[in-house]
Amino acid sequence: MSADLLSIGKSGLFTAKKSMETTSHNISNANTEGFSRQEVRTKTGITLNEGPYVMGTGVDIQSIKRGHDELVEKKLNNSISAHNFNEERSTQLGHIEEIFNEVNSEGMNKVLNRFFNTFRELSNRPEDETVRGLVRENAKIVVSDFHRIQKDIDQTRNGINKKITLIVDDINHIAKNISKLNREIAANEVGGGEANDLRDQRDGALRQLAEHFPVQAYYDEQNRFVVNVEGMGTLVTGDLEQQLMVGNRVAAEDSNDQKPHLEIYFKSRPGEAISSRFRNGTLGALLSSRNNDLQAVEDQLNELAHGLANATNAIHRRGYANREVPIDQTTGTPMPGLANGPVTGIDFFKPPTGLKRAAEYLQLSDAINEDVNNIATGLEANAPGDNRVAIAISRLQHEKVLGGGTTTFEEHYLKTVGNVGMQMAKAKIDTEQSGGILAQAQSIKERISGVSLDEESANMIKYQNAYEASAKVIKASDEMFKAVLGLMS
Amino acid sequence: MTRVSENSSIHAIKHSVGKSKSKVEDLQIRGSTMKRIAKPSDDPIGNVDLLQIRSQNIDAQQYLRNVSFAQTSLSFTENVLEEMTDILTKAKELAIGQASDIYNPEVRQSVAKEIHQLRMQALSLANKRNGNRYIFAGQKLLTKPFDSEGKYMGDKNKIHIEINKDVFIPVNVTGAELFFDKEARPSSKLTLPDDPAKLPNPQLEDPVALNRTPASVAPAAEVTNVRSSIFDELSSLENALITNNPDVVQNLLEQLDRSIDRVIAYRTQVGALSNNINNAENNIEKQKLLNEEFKTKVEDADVTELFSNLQKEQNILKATYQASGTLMNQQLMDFLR
Repeated sequence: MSADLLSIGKSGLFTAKKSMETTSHNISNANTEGFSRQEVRTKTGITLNEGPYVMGTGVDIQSIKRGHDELVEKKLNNSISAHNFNEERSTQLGHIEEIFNEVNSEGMNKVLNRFFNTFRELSNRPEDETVRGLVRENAKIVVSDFHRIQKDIDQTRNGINKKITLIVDDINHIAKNISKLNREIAANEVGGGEANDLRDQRDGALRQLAEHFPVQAYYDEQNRFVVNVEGMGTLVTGDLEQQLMVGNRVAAEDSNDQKPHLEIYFKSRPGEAISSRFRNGTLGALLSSRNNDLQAVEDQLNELAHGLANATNAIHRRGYANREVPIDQTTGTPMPGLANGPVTGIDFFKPPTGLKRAAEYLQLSDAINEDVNNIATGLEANAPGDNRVAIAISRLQHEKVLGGGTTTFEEHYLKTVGNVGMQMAKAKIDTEQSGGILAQAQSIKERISGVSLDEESANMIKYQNAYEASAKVIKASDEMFKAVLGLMS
Repeated sequence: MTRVSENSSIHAIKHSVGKSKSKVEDLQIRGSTMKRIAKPSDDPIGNVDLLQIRSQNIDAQQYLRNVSFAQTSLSFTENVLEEMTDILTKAKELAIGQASDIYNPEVRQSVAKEIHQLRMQALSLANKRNGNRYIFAGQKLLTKPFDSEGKYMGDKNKIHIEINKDVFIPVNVTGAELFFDKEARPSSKLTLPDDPAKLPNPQLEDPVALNRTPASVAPAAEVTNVRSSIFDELSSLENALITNNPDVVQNLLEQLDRSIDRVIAYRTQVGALSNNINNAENNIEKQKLLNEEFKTKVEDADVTELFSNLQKEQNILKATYQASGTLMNQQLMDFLR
C-alpha cells in the first residue's frame, strides 16, 4: 500500500520537475527568434481495479507540446510575402522616381522646354550665329539628358539583376537547410513525440523563404515535408532539394537589342525560365519592377526620343542652310550640291534606326555638329531673314506629335512622370497597409507561440508548490511505513 | 481571453512607435523645406502641374523676349516711315509749287537739285538697317534692298514673330509693298481686325504653312520693275523740272499723293500693331502672375496646417511612448517578492 503511495508521490515529483524544466526552457528562450513556448501535457496514470474500487496510480507525462497554429503560421507567411513585395517595390520605384524627380533640380522637362524656346529665339534672329550656337548647345543638353536617364535606367536594371542573383543564392541556401532539418526531424521523431525546437527552426527557414516568394508547405501522403514555390513546382521534398539558378536570355526577336535578360531557372530544367511566375515577395517585386515599371518608363523614353528626332528632322530637312545657294537661272530654283556645305535636306538629329534604344542612340547629326550654319531656319534659299523653319520647330513643343497625334512631347513626358509618381505613392500606401497586416499577423503568432514571462512566473510557483506537495506525499508515505514498522518492534 | 506574450506586446509597441515616428519625420522634412512636394510621389498630380507651370513660365519669358524684339523692330520701322512721310510731303509741296507756269527754268533747276537730294534721302531710308538687318528687304535682310537706280533686290516675304502662343505678328514692311505703286493699298495681310484688342488670326496666314512654294527670283524682279516706285516718281519729277515741263509735274502730283497715303497707311498700321503687342505683353504678364499664384499653392506647404499636424503627431508619439512604458516596465515578478 505504501509502495503505491510512494510511486504516486514519485510520479508527481517527476512531473513537477519536468514541468519546471520546460518552464525554465521557455524563460531562457523568451527572446530566441522563432521559439515557440512549450508546455508539458499530463494525463492520469493507468487505473487499477481493486475489487469494488477503481484506483488512480498517479500522473504520467503525455507529451511536450509547442504553442503552434498551422493556419496562423500560413497567414503570417502570406503577409510576409505581401509586405516584402510592397517594400521592395517601393525601393525600386523610389530609384525610378529619383530619375524623374525635378522638383528641386533640372530635368528632362526643363531641358526640352529650353530646346524649343531657343528655336523661338532663333526665329527672332535667324541671321545671328550666336543664337545658332545656343540652339546647338541646348540640343546637346537634350541629348545628354536622354543619355543620363537611359544610364540611370540601365543602372537600376543592373541593380535589380544583381539583387535577384543574390536572392537566388539565398533561396538555395535556405532550401538546403530545410532539407537538412527535415532529415534531423525525421530522425528525432522516430520514437513518437515532436522535435519542437527543430520544427521551430524549420518554420523560421520557411519564413525566410516567404520573404522572397509565397511558399506552400505541407506533409505529403508519404509523410514527407514538401515546400512548394507557388505555381511552379517543389523546392524541397523530404530530405531532397531542388536548386535554382539564374541565366541570361537573349530573345531571338531582338538580337540587335543586346541587353541581357536575367531569368531564373530550376537547375534541373534550364530550358524553362520560371521568373515570370514569381508574383509576390521580394523576387516578385524585383521582377515586376524590372519587367513592367522600368520597361514602361524606358519604352516611353524611347518613344519620346524617337518622336523628337523624327519630327525635328522632318521639318528641318525642308529648310535651307544659312549659306549662299546658287539659283538655276533658267528655272529659278535653287541648285543642290555645293562644295562649301550642304544646302537643304539636312537632318538635325541623326535619324533614329528604330524605336528600340532610340534614347541611347540619340545624337546630333554630323552636319549640325560640324557647322552651326547647317541649322536651317528658312523655307527659302538665300533668305537669311526667313524664320519659318525655326518657328515650325519651336511650335513642335505644343503640337500633338506622339501617340498617333494625341499627345505633345511635354504631355507625353509628364504622363510618364505622373505615372511613376502615382505608382510610387500607391506603393507607399500599400507598404504601410501590408506593414500593418504583417504586424498584426506577427502579433497573433506571438500570442500563440510567444513566451509570456508573467505566465511562466505563475507556472513556476505552481510547479514549485506541486513539487513540494509531492515531496510531502513521499514523506507521509515514509512516516506511515515507519508507523507500521513500529508496531512490529 | 487573449493571450499576451512578451514578443506580441513588443511587436505592437514597435509597430505603433515606428509608424508614429515616421509620420513625425515626414512632417519635419516638410517643415524644414517649407515645401509640400519633395518627390513626385508626394503629390503626383501636383508635381505634374508644377512642371507644366514651370514650362509655361519659361515659355512666357521667351514670348516676352519675342515681344520686345517685335516691339523694337516695329518702332524702328515706324520712325523710318515717319521720316519717309516728311520727305515725300516736302517733295509734294515743291511739286505743287512747280506745277504752275510761274517759275522760270533756273528756279526749276535748283528745285530739281533739291528733289534729287530728297530722292537720295529716300533711298538711304529705304536701305536703312536695324543692327545688321535691312528693314525693307523682306526676308533677304542681309542684302541691300535698293540700288542707286531704285531697283528692288529684296523679296516680298513678311517676317512673322510669335509674340504669344499661336499669336503671330508681321514685324516688317517689305520694300515691294511700300515703295511700289501697284500695291497702292496695303495688302490684306496688314489690315487690322475690327476689334483692336484681338491680334490677327494666325489661322488665316500661318507663316509656317510649309507648302508655300519658294518665290522664284526672276519673275519677282520683272513685276517690280514695271511698277513705278517712289524713286521712279522722284526721278520723273526731277527730270520734268530739269526739262522744265510743268504738265508732267502736274501729272506726277496724283501719283505722289497716292505714295504719301500709302506710307501713312503703313505707318498707322505699324503703330496699331505696336499697341496690339502691348496687349499681348500685358496678357503674358497677367498669365505669369496667375501661374505664380497657382505654383505657390501647389508647391508651398501650408504653414498653419503643417505645424498643427506636426504638433498633433508629436503628441500621438508621446502618448505611444507613455503607454509603452507602463506596459514594458511591469511584471508579475515585481509583485511576488
